[in-house]
Amino acid sequence: MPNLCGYFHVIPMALGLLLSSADCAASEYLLEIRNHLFFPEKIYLPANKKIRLVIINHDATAEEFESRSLNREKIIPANSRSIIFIGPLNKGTYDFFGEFNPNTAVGEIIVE
Amino acid sequence: MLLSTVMIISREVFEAATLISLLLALAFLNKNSRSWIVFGIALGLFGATVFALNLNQISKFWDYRGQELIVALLYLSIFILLTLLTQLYLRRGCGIESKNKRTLDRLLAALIALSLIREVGEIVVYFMSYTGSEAKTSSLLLGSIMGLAIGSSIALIAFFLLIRTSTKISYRVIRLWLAVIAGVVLMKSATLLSQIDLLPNTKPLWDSSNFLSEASISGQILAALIGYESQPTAVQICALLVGVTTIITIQQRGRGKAPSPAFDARKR
Repeated sequence: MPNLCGYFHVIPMALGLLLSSADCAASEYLLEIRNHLFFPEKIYLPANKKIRLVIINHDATAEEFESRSLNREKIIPANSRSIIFIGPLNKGTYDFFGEFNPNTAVGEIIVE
Repeated sequence: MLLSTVMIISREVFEAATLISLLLALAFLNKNSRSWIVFGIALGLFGATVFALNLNQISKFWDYRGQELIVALLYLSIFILLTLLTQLYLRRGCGIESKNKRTLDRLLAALIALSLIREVGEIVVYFMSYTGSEAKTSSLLLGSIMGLAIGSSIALIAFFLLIRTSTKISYRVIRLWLAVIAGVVLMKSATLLSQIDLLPNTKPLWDSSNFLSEASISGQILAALIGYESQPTAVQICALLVGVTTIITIQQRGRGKAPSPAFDARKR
């Protein structure tokens, strides 16, 4: 009888692959950072769609885009751009903020 | 600025210090060489500086996916080293023989270095953004000292509790906590790969933010300790379970022989 005890950790891995599904096409949205502020402050996105968020930092200092509700965190270097994939999301409002400037760099993603 | 500096520094230090305090406790209990620990910290600080200075180039790699790739690889490396640490030294009934101490020294140094690179790298990037102005520099300095004290306090308490408790209990706690940390680093790696669409993006399985918000102090502490996510996806949960069960599986496959004297070096 083969000893399967060493392999049971593969089961959650396989379940994860079976449960996950991905929509290959992603819509692109733009978010800009100027003077430690996000533009636009509110982004309206469609529900149940994968989104490619392009973030352009126009400031001379780095900013960290962070959203706990979206499980997303990324440092955007000064005068540069980056991308983050989010979604598919249920309808609702998801906060995000700039961790380096949390008092000014705040925004919302509103999913409809 | 002072408050945001305290928050950033304390959070990053806390995340790194959680694993480092366990590794230091393990080194202390087995009387490992301190010079390797110092080497690991120095290597980690150096690596963090290199990461921060080259972040712009790293971020542009492969259509702006480079940052997540590098950090995900860091987390995966930590996971692999934790499995190696468990396989060699933390299986049930195994002891740490003196001839293997040198390997353990190097393993601990590597883990400490890797743990520091991402967290301290972010701190370095933050510092680089705000040096120059005298007023901002003094806020940075004061905030950093306060953040370092807050961030390392819980880890220091855990370290002293581990070295002062009986060796048997200490090793049980270390084994369990390392299994959790292994799951957390694998989950973080999976999150980053989802962020750049290398792993599937799925909807959250549940939302416990009304019960315990990640923005709260308790939520942030739990996030650093056990990787708490109020809205985890299936990929994150599976990565967490794979990490934890891998380590526990290895731990349970003990050789069954009596522990070596090194395990019971400190009798209480």
